[in-house]
Amino acid sequence: MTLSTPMIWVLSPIVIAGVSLVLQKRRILSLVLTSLTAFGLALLAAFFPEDLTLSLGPLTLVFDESLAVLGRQITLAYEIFPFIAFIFGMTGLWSLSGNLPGVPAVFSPTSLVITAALTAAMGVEPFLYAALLIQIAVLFSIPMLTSAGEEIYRGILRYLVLMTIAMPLILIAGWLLTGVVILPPESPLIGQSALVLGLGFALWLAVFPFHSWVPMVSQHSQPMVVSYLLFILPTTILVFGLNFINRYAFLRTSGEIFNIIRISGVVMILFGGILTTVQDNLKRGFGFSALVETGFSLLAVGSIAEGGLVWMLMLFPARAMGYYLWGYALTRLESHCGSLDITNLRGCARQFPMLTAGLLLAQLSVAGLPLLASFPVKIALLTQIMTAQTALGVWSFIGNLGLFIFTIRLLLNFVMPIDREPPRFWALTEKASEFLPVIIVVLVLVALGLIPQHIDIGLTNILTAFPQLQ
Amino acid sequence: MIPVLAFVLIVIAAMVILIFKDWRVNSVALGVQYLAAFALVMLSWPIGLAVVKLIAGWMATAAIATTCMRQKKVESTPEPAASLFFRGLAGLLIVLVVFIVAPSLQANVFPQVELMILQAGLLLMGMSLMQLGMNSEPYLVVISLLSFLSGFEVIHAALELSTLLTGLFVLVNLGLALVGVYLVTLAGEVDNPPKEGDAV
Amino acid sequence: MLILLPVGLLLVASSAIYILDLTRPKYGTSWLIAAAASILAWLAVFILRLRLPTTLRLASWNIPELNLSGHFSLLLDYDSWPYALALITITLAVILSDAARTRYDSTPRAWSASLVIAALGLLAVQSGTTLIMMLIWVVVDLLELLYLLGLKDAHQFSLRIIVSYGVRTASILFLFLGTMQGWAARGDFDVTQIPTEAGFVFLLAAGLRLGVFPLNLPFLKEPTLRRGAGNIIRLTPVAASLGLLARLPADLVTPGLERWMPLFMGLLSLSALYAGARWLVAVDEVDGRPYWIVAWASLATASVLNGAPQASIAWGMALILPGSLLFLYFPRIQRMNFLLFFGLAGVLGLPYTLAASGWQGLAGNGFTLWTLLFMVAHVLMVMGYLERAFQPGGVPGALESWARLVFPLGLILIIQAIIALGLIGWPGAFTAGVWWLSLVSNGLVLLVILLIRRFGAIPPYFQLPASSRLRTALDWLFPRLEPVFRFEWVYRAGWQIYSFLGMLLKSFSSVLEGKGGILWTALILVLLISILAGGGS
Repeated sequence: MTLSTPMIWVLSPIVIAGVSLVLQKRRILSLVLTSLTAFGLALLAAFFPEDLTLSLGPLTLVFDESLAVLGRQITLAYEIFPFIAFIFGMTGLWSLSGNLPGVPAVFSPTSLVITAALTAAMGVEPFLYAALLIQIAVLFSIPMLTSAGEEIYRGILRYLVLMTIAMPLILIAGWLLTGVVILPPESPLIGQSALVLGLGFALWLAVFPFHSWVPMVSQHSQPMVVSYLLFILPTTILVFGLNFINRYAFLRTSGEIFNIIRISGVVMILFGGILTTVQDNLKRGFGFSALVETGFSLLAVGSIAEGGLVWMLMLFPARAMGYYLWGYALTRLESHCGSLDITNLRGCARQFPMLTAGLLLAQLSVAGLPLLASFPVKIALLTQIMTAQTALGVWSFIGNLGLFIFTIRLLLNFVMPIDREPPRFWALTEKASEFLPVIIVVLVLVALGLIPQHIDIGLTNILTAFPQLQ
Repeated sequence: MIPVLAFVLIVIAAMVILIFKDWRVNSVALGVQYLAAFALVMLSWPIGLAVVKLIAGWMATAAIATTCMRQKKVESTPEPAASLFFRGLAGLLIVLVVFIVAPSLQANVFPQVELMILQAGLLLMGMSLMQLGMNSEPYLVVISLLSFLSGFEVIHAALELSTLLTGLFVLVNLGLALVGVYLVTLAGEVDNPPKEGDAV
Repeated sequence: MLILLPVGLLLVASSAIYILDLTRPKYGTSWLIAAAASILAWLAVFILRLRLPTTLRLASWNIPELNLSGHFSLLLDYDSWPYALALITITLAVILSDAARTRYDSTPRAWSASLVIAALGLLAVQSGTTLIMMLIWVVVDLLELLYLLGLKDAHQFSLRIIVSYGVRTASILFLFLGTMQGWAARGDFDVTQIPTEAGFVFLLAAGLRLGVFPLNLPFLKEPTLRRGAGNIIRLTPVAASLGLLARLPADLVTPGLERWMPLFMGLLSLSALYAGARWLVAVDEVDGRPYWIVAWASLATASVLNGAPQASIAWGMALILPGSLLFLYFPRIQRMNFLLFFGLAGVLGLPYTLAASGWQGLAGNGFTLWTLLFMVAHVLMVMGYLERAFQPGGVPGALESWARLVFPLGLILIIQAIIALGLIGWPGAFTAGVWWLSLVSNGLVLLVILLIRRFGAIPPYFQLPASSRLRTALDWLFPRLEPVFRFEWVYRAGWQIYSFLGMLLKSFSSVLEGKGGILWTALILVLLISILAGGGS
């Protein structure tokens, strides 16, 4: 049997996830298995030789970059390995938190399956079939979003519906686009094809007005799970979307389409930002902030002519770390304080200073505060938008203020004493195992914010997999 | 003749699923719908490949139906006739829109797809979307999604023939059905939490 | 690299003191370390005067492959050296004068904190680009926030502390916006080349941080801040903001902003007058410190708007140095009271004194109503300074023998800096300036001193007796003005609007998330497509 790269990064994690699922009652073992697998695959992808030949002493393993499946191929070329390393690395990081209070036991194995399915989506030929693999990933995510004994809330069903509707749209759009390539540019069919494609991606990325599931799911589901989902799905979908821009010249050269993408991004940022500001529940606030981040990614894609794809890729690590810390802090706070309504958390900074500081710094990092991870890219991106279209730049900036205002509101509630109660003194009640991850991630965020050029993990190199986009 | 019969069955099955909420009625209608869809897919694909869709569809239907059967549903008040009538009218509206839109869609976008196939697929998709907009019970949502996907598959079968795609669609349909089973079971647990001593 | 020497000395000393305090607390050794490091840093800053301008490039984000831009550098030139010297002088003065406050609030931990904040302040005033300025402002604000929240009575002031932090964050965001505008207009720039297009936004950033533009005074009553470390904490962010003001372009007021000038100047003069009046009637100098800052900062900001940003340095020096002389002079020793009168050289603005070049900023475009109002504010500030200078002191017996030497030495250092900066601080520092304006202002001071007897004030004090009608009127008026100037009504109004908007959006959101959400989504989608299609055609 010929070994191939999809076997390593698609099939083997699915198998191991299956084993882990069987062992889910032994949580630590399951967690260790999935984390080690995810990190191991990440390291392997990061250091895999370019000629796809592994020499282990006297043994030489030659890997094929394709795997034939039912008459088609799944191809994981060397150029995409940095991205695979990144998503498996992040999956491993999230898996490590699989035994936090409230995190479902199925989270770790399921996250591995989801990542494997999304990896397959990156390499399936024809690439349109990735829509089905993404749908499979969505289906796998359902059990980890729900918990036994709790009511099925509308958000889960809304999420399932909207993501499922997107799939046929992408398939039809792909079919249409193949046909319109030969048509003259003024043909109405081109616009219709682009519209169908745009609708499909809008559903996938929860672009307004298809965003409703995001705050609903984030409010009712476990924060660690939601943070993983809101990171992995849009990230992979955005990279998948590059295939369309790479393949179809008329998409690539249409200034109008990228203008629409830019405007959609600004709308997302403004809408998400304003709604974030007025949220009273921290989990819903996170959901709306995730919409803002999607808006920034769209803004970056819309600035493709000015190198926006590099920004889009550089935002991924900053976002991943920010989301991880956010989900972690919310999980810990929820286990200590119960409800994550703002008013319920009054004064809790004095009891849980490290967790609250971690939460605030995570939010500020995602918002783009100088010194923290997202700042270098966001200032470059916003400057470019301002150069091209001042109004868009200003509105984007205003929308981005939403998370800052939300954070200040939260800070105020964290430190204000509770009415009619004697003021509490500052006390570090968290255990070291609770706040050490916070400190480590904050340091990573600061490093990403100060020296992004030295912490480039090669994500921008994946553009070589899209020859027309370099 | 068979295609026409299949088309009529699809319309009836879709209307039944839209109007009625009883899982028994919907399961039968879904099964009939898959049969009719199989008949239409057979116009484009070889029978060996088309039957995969039928089997996957029936498996999904059986899974949902079995799960609903095992749930001890809380007694709900019977629906007023007015809401049934309203949903019926909504379904007729969908039918009307499809009949208006389908010919121009076929002429401009899908010239290689037979009109009847296009109409049947659009009907299924439209009715399912209407159902999704009006209901929020897990099993109805999943049935609607299965209908939606089957409608899409009917149209897509006329556009492309691919074994991998068929396999992936089977996975998606069965996955959707399993998710439906999971959600229905969870919903049942909330409504009727298991008592001590109950067999699991 | 010499530019980093003072910063390095302070940071190393701070770490050493902190570690020493954790392991083997020794008050004397800690003080010696702090004093030695401060002295060496102070000398280093003086030496650097001979090597101006000095630039140190630290790092760069200008990497084409990553599509990032911006670089980090430090710049010590004639605009930033005065602030650097002022900061290091007051740091050294704090350490030396803390010898007299051993019974009060001077501790090794406080010195350690002071040295760190002073080091950050030095980095801030020497920022060569707005990128590094933003980073340092963020760190300074976070440290200040943590420090204030850690104070014993912080719970009473939680709202004010957070509001203040929010305002500081807003100033950083203005800096962010200004940097974006500048890069959009001209690409990567350093602080000596701030584009006109971004100038006003930078002014807002500095003005907001100073509390003058727009006026905001969250801390009219602030948590108990020590004179020593508290002085550093209060003045370091101020110095950093003032340093930015001096960098702004002279043609900052574009034709589009011209018509708003009366409003800007009106607000600034109002701030200056109010702050000046409150400074005059404040119970003591620490109580009046926020007003001291706002008043001088208003004059500095007005100078920038009048197209004379360099003139703001003079007012900035008046804020920092004579102010610190007052704030650090505790406990008061009667025999040393005369030292305060030397501080007058920094505030009077007479020709060839420290503040002489500042008048150019107030009257550069001609004598206007605003010039008159700012002059009145200046009179009030000088009156307040004199009032405090004339207050009696105690006997030195309570001080230890070594403290009797170093305590006045700390104050003398400030005086020496006032004189030195007045002579060689920056090109144009040693000048007659708009001499007639300074003479009129100081003449007014004399006149007021002569006239105050009529209101019942008994020299040398300017406090009115309790029975005075003017005093009664002022006692009635000021508490009612205070909430206005604290701007809480603005925040409250803003919050009301914001809550209303939030309520609308939440309702809209709940409709989309409700049972018919998918149908609503479909409807909105159809509407959007119709609008776009209609707009496209």
